[in-house]
Amino acid sequence: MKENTLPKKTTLLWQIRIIIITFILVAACLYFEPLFSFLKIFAIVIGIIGIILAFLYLPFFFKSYKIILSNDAVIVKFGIIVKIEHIMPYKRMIYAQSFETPLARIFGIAAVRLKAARSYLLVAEIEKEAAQTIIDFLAEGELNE
Amino acid sequence: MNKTFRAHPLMIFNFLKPFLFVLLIPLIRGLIQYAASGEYDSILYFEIMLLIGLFAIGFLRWWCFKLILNEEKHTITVVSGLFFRRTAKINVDRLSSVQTKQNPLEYILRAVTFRLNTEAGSLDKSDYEFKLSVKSAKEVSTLLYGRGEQKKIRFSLLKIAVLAATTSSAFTGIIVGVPLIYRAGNLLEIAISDMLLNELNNLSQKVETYFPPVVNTICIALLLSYAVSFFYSLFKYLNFQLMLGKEKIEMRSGLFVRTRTAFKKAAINSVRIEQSFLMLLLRRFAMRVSVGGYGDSRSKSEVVIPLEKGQEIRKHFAEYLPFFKCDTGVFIKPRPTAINRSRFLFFPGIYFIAASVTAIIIGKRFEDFTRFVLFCLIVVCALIFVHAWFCLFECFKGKVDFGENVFIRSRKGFRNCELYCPKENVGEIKLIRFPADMWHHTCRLRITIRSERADSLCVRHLDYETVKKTVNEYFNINA
Repeated sequence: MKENTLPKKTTLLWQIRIIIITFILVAACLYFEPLFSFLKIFAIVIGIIGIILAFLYLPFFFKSYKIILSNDAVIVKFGIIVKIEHIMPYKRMIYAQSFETPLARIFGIAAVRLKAARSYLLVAEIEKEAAQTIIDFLAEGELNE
Repeated sequence: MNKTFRAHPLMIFNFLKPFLFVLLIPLIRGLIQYAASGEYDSILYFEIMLLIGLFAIGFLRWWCFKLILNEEKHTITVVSGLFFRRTAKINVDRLSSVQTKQNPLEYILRAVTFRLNTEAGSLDKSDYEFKLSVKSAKEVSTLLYGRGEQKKIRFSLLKIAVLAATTSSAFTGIIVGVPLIYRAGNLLEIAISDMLLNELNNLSQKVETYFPPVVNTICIALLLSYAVSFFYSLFKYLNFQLMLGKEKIEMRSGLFVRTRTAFKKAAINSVRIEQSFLMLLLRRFAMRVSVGGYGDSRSKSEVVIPLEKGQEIRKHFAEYLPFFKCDTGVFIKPRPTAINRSRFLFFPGIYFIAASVTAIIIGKRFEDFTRFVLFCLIVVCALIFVHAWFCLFECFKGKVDFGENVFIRSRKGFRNCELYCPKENVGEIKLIRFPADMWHHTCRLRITIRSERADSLCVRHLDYETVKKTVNEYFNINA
């Protein structure tokens, strides 16, 4: 049984994403603030939530992320407040798909979606080589047997 | 060895489609400008700039799209996306089917719409849909399913016409025809629907029968709808060909829109032999196979044989599909007692009495409509008699066989049906007992196939003890 954690780059990528989104929202609120004064409070609240998410929640969330490749199934465990364990047997898996955004490509990481009939399992961004290994393993390894 | 295929340039337009709404922006801008100042400028310039930009994105997305086939590892890789890059690797064994479709425009440009279907596909959508050149599509199909020898079976126009007639209904005709008439009317700015209704009224008044003119109008409207549905089905199935390869089954059909569907023999969940009332009169059957994650739905049953004698179907497929036969020959049948047989006609009897009583009450209450009520009663009674006919089929011909393959014969609605599947594909066996069943020591046996489509068939009034014992033995249940 092989247990994998997420690379630190994933946390950094998501922190950048959250910061960008927070920045856009705060900037939009401040831009329209002369028209609607309550938007100033909105900007402060959004800013605080963004900072908490980026620097407190995300590092712990991704630290809790574990990907286990057992003999029979892929198991993904994550969660801080609500703990989730997603088990997907290899036999039920149909195919795997990786996708990368421009920012993820710069970091050399990619997310993987494992597709089964009527459901899928999403693995957050991992090293590109690791993602490719998982995809190859599922397409050529177990499924061929 | 990897073999890479590029999409047909026609796919650039497919990539453009989701972004075409952007072309409205300069128009809206111009409208606002016009409303504010009474003038507008540069609309055409912006439109052209946007169109060039969209084409550039479409072209780059087309350029990035790749289909890679690995013959040794038996995998297919689809790479797509310009900024958001997606790579999917699918084992060929996991493909439930491959479908190619060609409309007249694609025919002229030598392109086809190629669909890869797996059981993981979302509802009403293929996993991957793209355009390939005819040459590439043929090459991909050959690489996926191998060359091998194929047994080609063609069907006459008459057989196709009977299939179209049995799969058509006035209801489908209305669904297909009404939007067409509405759109054509809007496009030509002619009230086609009003003209059609006037024609219907004129025609129904000219035909003199015992029944009132409204009956004629309804009959003509229904017949017209049925004709629309018939021709729709006929064009869909026209030129139907069946190719039986060593490992794959392929079907080709269509006149204007040509469809080609291929799937592995191993992907078949179950086989259904069906006989509608019209087929019953012609003493012919149709054969369908159910394949998971196929076509525009989660799972689909596809016509393999449109119309053939039962013996002919068995001749073609008995060896080809190993589970297409009864194993043991020891059948469980409905009890042959007179009381049990009469129970099969219980519901048709009830329907007949209910229809007659309702017709009498309505006829007495609304005396002006007596002839119309009589017409309705005749139609309902005809349907009840057909239903009774199928119930009698279930009584005398219904049976179940539990062997290495499971076989069940019964009726489903207004169709006689036979279902064959391997033992491991049986999803659920249900024994249902109503108070009357408990009184007569009988039960209904429903078998559901383990597939997305969940095909099921039920035989009524079987001996409960026999069924229970057989099922327990079959699945090694200690009850």
